[in-house]
Amino acid sequence: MSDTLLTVKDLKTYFFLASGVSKAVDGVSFELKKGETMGIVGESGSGKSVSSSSIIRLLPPRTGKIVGGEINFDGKDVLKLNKKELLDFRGKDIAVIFQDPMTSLDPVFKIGNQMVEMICAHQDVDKKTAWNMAVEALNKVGIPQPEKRMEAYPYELSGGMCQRVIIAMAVCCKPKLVIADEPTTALDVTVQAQVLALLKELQDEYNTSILLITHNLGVVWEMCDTVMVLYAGNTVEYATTKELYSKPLHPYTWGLLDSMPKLSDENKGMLNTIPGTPPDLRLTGKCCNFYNRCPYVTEKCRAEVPPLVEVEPGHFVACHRQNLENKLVRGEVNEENEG
Amino acid sequence: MKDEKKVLMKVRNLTKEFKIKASKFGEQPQILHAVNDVSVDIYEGETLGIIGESGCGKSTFGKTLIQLHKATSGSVEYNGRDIFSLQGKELKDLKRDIQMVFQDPYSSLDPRKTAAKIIAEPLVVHKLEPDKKKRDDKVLGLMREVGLDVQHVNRFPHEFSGGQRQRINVARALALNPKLIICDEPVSALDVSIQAQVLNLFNRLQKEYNLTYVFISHDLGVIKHVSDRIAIMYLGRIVELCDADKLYDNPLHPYTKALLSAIPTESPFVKKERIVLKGDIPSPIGEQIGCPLAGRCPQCMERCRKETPKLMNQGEGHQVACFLYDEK
Repeated sequence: MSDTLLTVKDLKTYFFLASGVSKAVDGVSFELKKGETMGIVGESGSGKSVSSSSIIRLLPPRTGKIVGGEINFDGKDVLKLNKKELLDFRGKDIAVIFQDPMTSLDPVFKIGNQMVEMICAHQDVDKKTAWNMAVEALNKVGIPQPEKRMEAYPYELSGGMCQRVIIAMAVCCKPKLVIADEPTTALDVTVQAQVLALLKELQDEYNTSILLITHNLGVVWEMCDTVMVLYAGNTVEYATTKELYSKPLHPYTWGLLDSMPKLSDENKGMLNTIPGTPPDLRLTGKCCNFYNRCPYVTEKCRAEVPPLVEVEPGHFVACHRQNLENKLVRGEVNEENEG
Repeated sequence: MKDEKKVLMKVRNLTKEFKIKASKFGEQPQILHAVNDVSVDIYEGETLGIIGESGCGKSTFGKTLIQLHKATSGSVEYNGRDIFSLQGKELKDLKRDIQMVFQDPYSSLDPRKTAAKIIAEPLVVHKLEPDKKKRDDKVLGLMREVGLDVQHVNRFPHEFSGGQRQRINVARALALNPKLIICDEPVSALDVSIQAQVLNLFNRLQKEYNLTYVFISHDLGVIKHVSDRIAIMYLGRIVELCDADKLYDNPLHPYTKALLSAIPTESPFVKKERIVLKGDIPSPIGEQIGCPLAGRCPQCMERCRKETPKLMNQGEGHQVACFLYDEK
């Protein structure tokens, strides 16, 4: 078990708003091994970003709160860290790459100053060494003329370049885990391919783990060893990538896989869709959150929250109709609804 | 059906340049070449997909077609009439036939108007349905048509989800019974499951009303799904134009090849060979000499740096702008 880096157990993060309690993350569990990449997929509002912010405890003060669950990082209980330990933990142990590269850099400081500030904060080095480290890191992520770019302001760089700078900042401290929150969503496909290749290269070199949050399943197939599907704050399915691709079990995963337009698809007709829209997060948590969009719904789904069950070794699914004795087959007619 | 296609819109040498003010006193203003010498025919009832990376001029192209931007040069003929020479009432009539659906469903609806008002606005502007009662009926009909709940007719845009807002956008565009709808990234702000619903809506409406779409997107999967023909744009130019199926089977232009190889795989069992284009898209500001891809192309020749290739026919409607396929 020593090769497990991060364990999250039944994490619950709620937002206490004037209009009610929004259960953004309501039961997320997973394990990440050293040197592996895990993908988190889901629609917007499914709790992808909130789960990752919960791991580094970067939630809006007052409104956002972790109300339950465990987060264990490399033997440390993250939820018990005090302020000082937390500062050390963020950045040094875990680095985060955010979605929008243009806004995650400070526009009024030069790239170099921002990088040096970050390195000095986490490592015991003087400014000169830090500067050299930064140049070296920029060089590593494939930025031409790194010395010159250190003097550039973020607006002078393109989106792909900014994302490279952020990746360079992330790898400077050689973190054990990189959380990449939609790192390529704001980028074009050709640049996306470059950035993903870069992440992979760095992973091989430093043996970092990556938590890749995305809504693009193509990126998941390419990068990840394991994948977790989130829906309305719950883990609905969690398996290795190959297993999930060849044997998805949850009805939501089926819908998600079907609704992607595929290049190999010759059929120009209608796409299969999931009817309806995701539920209001203030009202979830009493039954299966997917019940109103699921074609296989039963009475039990409306009454109870399905637990996350390991139906096959390493393949977890949270669905009342998928368990060890009883397996639902994709495309099966729902008898209970017919009658 | 393919043999006797009627040309609905004929675009010839369309060019759009933006002047950028000089940053220093006395400096010459610079010119940004957003759309550069684009010629394409749009046939009735088809979907022309336009794909390219950000900044390649796809949206500007769409907006120039309906004169939201005034073209610098070139011509656009709609049903045999040059639309840039039209004025006043004629132009207004023409705009009834051509509608647009914008990218961002959040900012393209007036936040102070209810759904009913938004959808009815084109009818009011064009004075099509002066009777209020009939107009309201028509609005309800449109809402049903695009799959919106008619009970929500008096809601404001912020009360709708992204997918529903995009449906309002579509309903508004449909209100005038247009022939051509220009869709500028209509699904890129939506989640996959919602995206599929909206794509199906477009598909159904096209069959019902024999609509023609110009569908602008950067998502190669979406484009493949909706389009009959696809134009690839790079730095303001169309570099390749051909039937949708053929493009994916047999891409000719080096840029198209690289673009297609950059799509993430569809299965974790398949590893893809990548053609990596080095660097970023060059700046469209200033004078443009040579092939736009010259600096990044793995097969760049001496000639590419000096001359700009034109779209050349490679048979069966497959056009490509690259010297590699020039027989001379």
